[in-house]
Amino acid sequence: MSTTEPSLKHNLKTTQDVEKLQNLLEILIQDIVIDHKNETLVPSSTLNQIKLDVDRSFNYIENATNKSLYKSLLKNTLNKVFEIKPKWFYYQGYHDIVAFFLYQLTYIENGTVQFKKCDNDRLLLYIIVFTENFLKDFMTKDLNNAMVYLNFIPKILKKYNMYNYQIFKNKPFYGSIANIITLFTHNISQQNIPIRLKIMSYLLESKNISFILVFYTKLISHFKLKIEERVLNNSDSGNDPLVLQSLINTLITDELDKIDLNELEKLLKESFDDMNSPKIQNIFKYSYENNGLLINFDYKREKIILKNTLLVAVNMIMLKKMTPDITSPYTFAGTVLTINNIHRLIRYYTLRYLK
Amino acid sequence: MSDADDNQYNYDYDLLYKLVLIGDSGVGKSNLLSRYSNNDFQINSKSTIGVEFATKAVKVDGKIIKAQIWDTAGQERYRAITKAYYRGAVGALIVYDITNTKTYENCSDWLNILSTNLENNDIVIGLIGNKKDLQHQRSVPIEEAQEFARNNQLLFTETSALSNENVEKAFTQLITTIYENSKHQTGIETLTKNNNGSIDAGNTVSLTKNNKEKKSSSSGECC
Repeated sequence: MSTTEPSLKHNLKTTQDVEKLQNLLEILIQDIVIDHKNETLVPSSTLNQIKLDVDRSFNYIENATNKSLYKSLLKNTLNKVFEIKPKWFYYQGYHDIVAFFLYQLTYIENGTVQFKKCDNDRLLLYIIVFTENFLKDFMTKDLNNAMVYLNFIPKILKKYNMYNYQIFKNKPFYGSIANIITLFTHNISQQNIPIRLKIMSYLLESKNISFILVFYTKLISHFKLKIEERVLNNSDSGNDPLVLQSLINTLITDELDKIDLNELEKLLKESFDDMNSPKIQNIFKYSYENNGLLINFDYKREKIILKNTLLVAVNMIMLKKMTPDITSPYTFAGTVLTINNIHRLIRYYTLRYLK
Repeated sequence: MSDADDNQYNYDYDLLYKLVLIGDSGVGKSNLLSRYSNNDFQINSKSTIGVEFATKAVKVDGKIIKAQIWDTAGQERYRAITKAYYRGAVGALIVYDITNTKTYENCSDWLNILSTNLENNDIVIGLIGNKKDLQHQRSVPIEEAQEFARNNQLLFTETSALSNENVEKAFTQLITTIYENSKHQTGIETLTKNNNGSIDAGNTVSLTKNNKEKKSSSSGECC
């Protein structure tokens, strides 16, 4: 936790990054209005959990009065979100994200909370629309969707040629959960706020929550040498994936807090580009686990099936025209390609059927 | 049994015990762990999201036991994730808040969750009534909790992570009981370190590491 007093805070909070964040939120909420007609009372169990988490928020603010004002704002905002959206379920960690937005888009003056270029209702709108677009998958009755997200991390790691992929193969990357579902807002301090602001802005620009998965994996790839040195080649860590994942997560979280902002910008940009590259897109495209989730990218499933069926058909025609000699490198390569495409198609159909 | 409050044993150990801390949100699990592993208490603690872990080594019967302690999120919705961490656990502490009856009542549920998610029935379980320093707000009578523990064959301690009362005792009691059980019952699942430094599940086997494997720097400590 930071020991820096918020005298520095005001400067940090009025940076271009905050303005950029707010501009992106403005774009996101364009033409959207809050529908209050389904408002209902929030269940007491949710209110109790919110209270517990709010009490443990804003630890980076030292001024007790300011901290108390922010906590009150957070509690009221969270309660309001769940009154307006009664079908959403609160999860621990959501409060970290909301606290982040509140802290960035408000300030304290004369003992009251002031809003930056917005008012309380607009701030609420930012949060609700942001949640709808990026966090809705976690607001369900259980966190099974989060497990689906964590399952994608080893798959993306494989695309980054991380040789330790085998350790995590077919296992959700549980160790990443805190950073993924809080969008890196769980361990905020006065020092790392500029870093978290940049991450949040890039996420908003990316328009897809999968950005966080790609960025998380990019961090693992970026700190690969340190991970090898301190975790993977350290006999004390053993080979328990859960231990390794936790240690890797701790390492990248610590390193992220120390990262140079230019280096961070570069990593974020690379993650943004990677997210839109075919190599990463194919992971999400050819999975049925993410069907109906925000990481689905609005793929036209039928179009993918049609495209792959055609691909297999073309493969088969080409194979027929080739010499029926498997020792020929062309025939061999063609056969492998065809089998691979058929396999992919069968898997795709099977997953759809099972779903 | 001698307590080891220094961390020198973390680099070299004979046995590895995986322990889990479970219980409702806000009962003080994270502070119990930080008090035990680092003698630290955070007034401004934050919610645990998912799972965190810390290690501490203790000496029992001349053997160095490394306790790998997993601190889990208390909110019910995290159970799908936290239960993945129960696998291989040889000990568990179910924590409640002595000032909050609901957290005590939910201990039966936690016990059921443990029993349905564990492969190892020989697990040693302790019931911990935390926040003992708040006597004036007590709502769970100690006798009732003791009775519950007796009926369910649980160890029982009331602790205060804030005042550091009985914290060491609670963990030590758990670890010693696991050790004693493993001495008398062959087959209890503990984790031992093999010669390659990797961790395997298996029977309790004493191991003496080669000098070259000894570490000069710390790793695997609190996340």
